[in-house]
Amino acid sequence: MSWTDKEIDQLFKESAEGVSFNYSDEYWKEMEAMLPQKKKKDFLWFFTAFAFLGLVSLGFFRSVNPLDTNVANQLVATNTSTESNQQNTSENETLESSSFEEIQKNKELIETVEVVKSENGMNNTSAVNRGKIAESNSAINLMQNLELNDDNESSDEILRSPHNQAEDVYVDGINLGSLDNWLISGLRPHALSSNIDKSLAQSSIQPTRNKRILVSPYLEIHGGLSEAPLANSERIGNYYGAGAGIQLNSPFWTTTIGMNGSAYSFSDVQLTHFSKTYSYGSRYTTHELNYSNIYRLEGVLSVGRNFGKHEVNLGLRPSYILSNRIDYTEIDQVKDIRTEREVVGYTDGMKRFGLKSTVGYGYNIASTWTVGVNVGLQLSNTFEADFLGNSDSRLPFDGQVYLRKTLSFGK
Amino acid sequence: MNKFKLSYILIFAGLIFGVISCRKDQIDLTNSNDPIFTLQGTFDGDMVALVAGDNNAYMHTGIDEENGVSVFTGKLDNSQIAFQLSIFDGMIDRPTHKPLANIPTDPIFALNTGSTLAHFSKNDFPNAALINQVEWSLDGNFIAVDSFNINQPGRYNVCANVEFYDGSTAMLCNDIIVGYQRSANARMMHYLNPEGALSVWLETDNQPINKVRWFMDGIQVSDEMKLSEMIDDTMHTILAEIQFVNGTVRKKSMIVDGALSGKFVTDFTAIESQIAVLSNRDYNLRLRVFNDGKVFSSLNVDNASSVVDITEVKYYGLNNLGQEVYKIKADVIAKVSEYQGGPVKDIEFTTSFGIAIEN
Repeated sequence: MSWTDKEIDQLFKESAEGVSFNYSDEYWKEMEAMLPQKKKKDFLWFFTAFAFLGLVSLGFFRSVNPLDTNVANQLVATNTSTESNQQNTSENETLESSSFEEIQKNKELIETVEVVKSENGMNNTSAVNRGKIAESNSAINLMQNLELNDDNESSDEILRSPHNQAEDVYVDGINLGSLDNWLISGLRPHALSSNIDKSLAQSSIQPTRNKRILVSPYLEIHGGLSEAPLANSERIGNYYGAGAGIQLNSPFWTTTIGMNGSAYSFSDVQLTHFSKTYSYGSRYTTHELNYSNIYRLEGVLSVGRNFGKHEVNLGLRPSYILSNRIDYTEIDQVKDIRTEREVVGYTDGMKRFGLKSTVGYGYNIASTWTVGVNVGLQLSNTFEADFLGNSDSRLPFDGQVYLRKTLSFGK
Repeated sequence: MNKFKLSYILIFAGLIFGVISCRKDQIDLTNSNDPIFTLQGTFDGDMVALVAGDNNAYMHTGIDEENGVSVFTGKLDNSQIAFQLSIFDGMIDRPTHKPLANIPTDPIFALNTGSTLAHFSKNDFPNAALINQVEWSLDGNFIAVDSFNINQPGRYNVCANVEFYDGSTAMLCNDIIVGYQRSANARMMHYLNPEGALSVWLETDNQPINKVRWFMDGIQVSDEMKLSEMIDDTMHTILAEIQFVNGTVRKKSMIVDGALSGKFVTDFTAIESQIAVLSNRDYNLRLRVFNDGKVFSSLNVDNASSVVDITEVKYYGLNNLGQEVYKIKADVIAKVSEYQGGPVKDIEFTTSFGIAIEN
């Protein structure tokens, strides 16, 4: 389907005639679609082996900055009715304009836009995407050429954000709407043309909410405390590690998929085995296995609710024990010989696959930095029941603090 | 951070995890197992239960040598009482024989008759009239002058140091097998004419000869079936290494007098053929019980009516001497005595016994 400029103009004129529109923040999403686009940019997805799921995923991170996606070459103009004329809501019309290709060719960055916080003073820099806006004069001109007018409502009324607590975006003194709506697509209007005038701001072009999800890779480091997986262990262990993954961000929800590698340290996770083996005589041996380190690969699957800079999430963490380090002591009771050695990677008797439920809280301390805490409960035992001997298993609690850096691959 | 940095981080992290996960040490957490070697039964009416590994009981195994014959032995001992089962080797004149393959499932107990198995005397030599005395030695140990007896089965090296009346001496040594089956045998015959032409040949017990190597004074001189050599007028030792078709290997030797003065020494092992043996000891069994400082042996009792039923022979492993040990399950009913004619003690037991056996 292709439209000529003339057809587009005509369509919008017809749709706008006699119809007044309420300004809605979400219309700006449509404006985003009109902004200059960049060709998709491929980014490296992290490669991860996740044996628990039997899934090895390989992919590439790719930018989903809406201003950089060619998805934006789809213009959706929606005529919505005013409150007094709701019956006259026109159909949304999608224009796949060949002129946008020209727009892409002519795009250039323009002046910076100030983000003026709304009266409630909330700092919404916690939003997941702090991407830059790049738009073209061509796009703006196109919008202006639409010459859609709204005669029914004042700009002041139109520019009122539907969300009282959300900050608004102003361009050259013009309120472009709630920042939340900019953040829907991870967009932060750092730059916008000063050529956008009030007529544009007050135009009847009312873009629909863009429902795309921003995908952001991240890296993190973490550390925490953990109960030991054996009931007879009295001391708390600690662990530390690093991870990477991606966050799928929508305005109110954040889904995190990632992979953490953690090294757990314990001081009294000890299993003791006794064996009497017959041969020409017999050998009565005590085996003491002190699990000083457990190296675990942990999948991160969580869904969080965003409250501004705050996020509360629930998650599951399937895990796989990669290796361990054991201080092993073998005692020959008959000959009274004691042999000690360090053993690495002996996972017999361990349930290498595990599952942990988590509750977490995150706080965005800077544009791309997040700190958070997670509390987890292992849902499966670490050791096989018949390997425990006289010990009892425990489903350990653990607490974790993490520092997460969201990565940006765009300009 | 560009994609290259990210790749670097991920690859580096992957390598760390890879290194960690690659090293896999092992711990030998052997589980407890059931006893391997046991004996349960009665000895002289008393209950006996021995388990190797319990109450200081240990299963000793080894291959002994008695009278030049291998004896495959196991001894289950708890320091208070010990049971020893031994199997005598058989077919000992066949170097390539496989003892394990020839042990019967129902072996019989060996019997120590105490009777003479072989008698050696100066008078048995055809030229005894020229011999002043003969000093006999057995396996390198002096035994007697002129005559002696062998009462125990075995393979012996018998040496006769012959002293003639003129003061000259000659020593001849030969292997002799008594109390064990001989798979083949041969006697050396010789003729020496006045010109010094010596002919030596072999008479066999209907067993064909595969190969013969002739040695004169320690030097191989022929591999023909018949030795024909010109000799001088001194004394010469002739040795025949005979390999029979059935695998039996024997050595026979004699001393010829090149001067034709009658001071030759014939192969005295010909006596083997004259030994009357009621039963050979090949693969026979011997049971010994060590108790209260006494040794009770089945050799001292006629165990013709005793029963040994071997139900299983299974390789177990190597002992500390590197010998192969087989686990033999058997039911045994036998008699033992401390000495011949002494009180007889009945033994009945079921055992899983370890015996080292050549294979």
